[in-house]
Amino acid sequence: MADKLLFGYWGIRGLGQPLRYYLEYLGLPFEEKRYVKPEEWFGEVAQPPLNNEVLVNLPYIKDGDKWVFESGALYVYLAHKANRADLLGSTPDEQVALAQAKGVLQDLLKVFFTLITFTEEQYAAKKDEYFKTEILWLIEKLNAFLAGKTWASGNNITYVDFQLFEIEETLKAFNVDVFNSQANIKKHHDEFSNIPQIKAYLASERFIAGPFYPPGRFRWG
Amino acid sequence: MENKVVLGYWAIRGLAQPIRFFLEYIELPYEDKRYTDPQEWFGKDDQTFNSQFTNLPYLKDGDHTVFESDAIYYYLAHKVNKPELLGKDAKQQTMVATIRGVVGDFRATFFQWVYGSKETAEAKKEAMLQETGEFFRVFNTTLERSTWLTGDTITYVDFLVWEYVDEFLVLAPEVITSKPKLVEFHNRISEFPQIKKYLENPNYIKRPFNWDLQAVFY
Repeated sequence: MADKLLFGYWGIRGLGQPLRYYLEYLGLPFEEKRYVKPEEWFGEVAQPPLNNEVLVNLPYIKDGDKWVFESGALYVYLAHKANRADLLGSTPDEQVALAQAKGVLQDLLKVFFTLITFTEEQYAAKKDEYFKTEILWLIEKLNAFLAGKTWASGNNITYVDFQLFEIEETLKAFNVDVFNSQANIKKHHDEFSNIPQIKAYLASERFIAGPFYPPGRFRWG
Repeated sequence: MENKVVLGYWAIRGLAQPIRFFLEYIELPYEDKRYTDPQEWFGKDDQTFNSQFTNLPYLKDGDHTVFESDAIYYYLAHKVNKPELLGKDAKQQTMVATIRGVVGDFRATFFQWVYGSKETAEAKKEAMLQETGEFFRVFNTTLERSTWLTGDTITYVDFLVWEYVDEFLVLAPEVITSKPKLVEFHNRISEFPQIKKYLENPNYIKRPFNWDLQAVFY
């Protein structure tokens, strides 16, 4: 009788959200520990002997005695645990395609993060211009990339689709007009929302609608 | 009449250096195409690819081009039939992704200083060395328990970390020399026959590590 996994992250959407969708989708029984104050984390887990050998960080999965850190590694660990290695790319071509898609998502997250970590003055003055010149073209690139595809790697759902969905949700919340103007992004978003486990999760009390990022520290979240 | 793959990147070490090492390690013949002038790339070569992902580094294999450095390791490992270089089983694949994530965190910390303000670089250096030192400490402790960073066989992430160990041996040697397993790891890879030969090749780029126009250390 398996123990529940423990998923630890801040009580926000952030990097943790795609992993929540993933856990729900995989149907792995899990509990969440949602950290609110840094002291809970740094005082609690980020201590020797655990942090001698690994860089303890959030998010993490605790599986019995075993800890796994780094969000990239969590997707790999959980896929194998649930016997769904197909979610990591079933063929070399798929694995390469996934690694490429991840690159675009990371570029997008990076410029978006730059925007929402502007100072208040910079944000007020330059928000729209920055969005137009640095972010919009990456969104359009993503939209073009999704043309003719059901999922990010083609025909099969993979872990990248979970990260992509959260980016779509973020865009929808940040600028719904731009979201609505990107047909392929919208289509992917709708398809993903309708996966039964995801649909149920989005309607449940467990789903964190907000904030995306910690309030106060970021210009938007 | 060579069917050499082509690795395209700037004429610096940067993100491509571990790929160059990987290519040398797997002994796959390649052309090391280096863009010294941004205008050779932007508006010129970058227009020749019909891809959503066009960027540097790239790996061109006949008609097919792969972008994104991680994708390039995956492509090459499968091309030479050595998928174990990506992690031989679930456990090692998880460790590969873990170390790869940690390298990403290291890069975020280190490059914020490298490409940050030149005026405050000296003042901020000590704090940067403290933070990056933590990463090297953990890598060192990991190597006390296993031969390679992800287990008992080498994977591509070992080459990623080797590059930063090598860079710090120049930038702040004491950060590395105080960690014996890291020194031994660095020597072990340097001593592979194909790597040893590559290090002595006049084409091997010793410097710059980073973009010399913008970086506080290169």
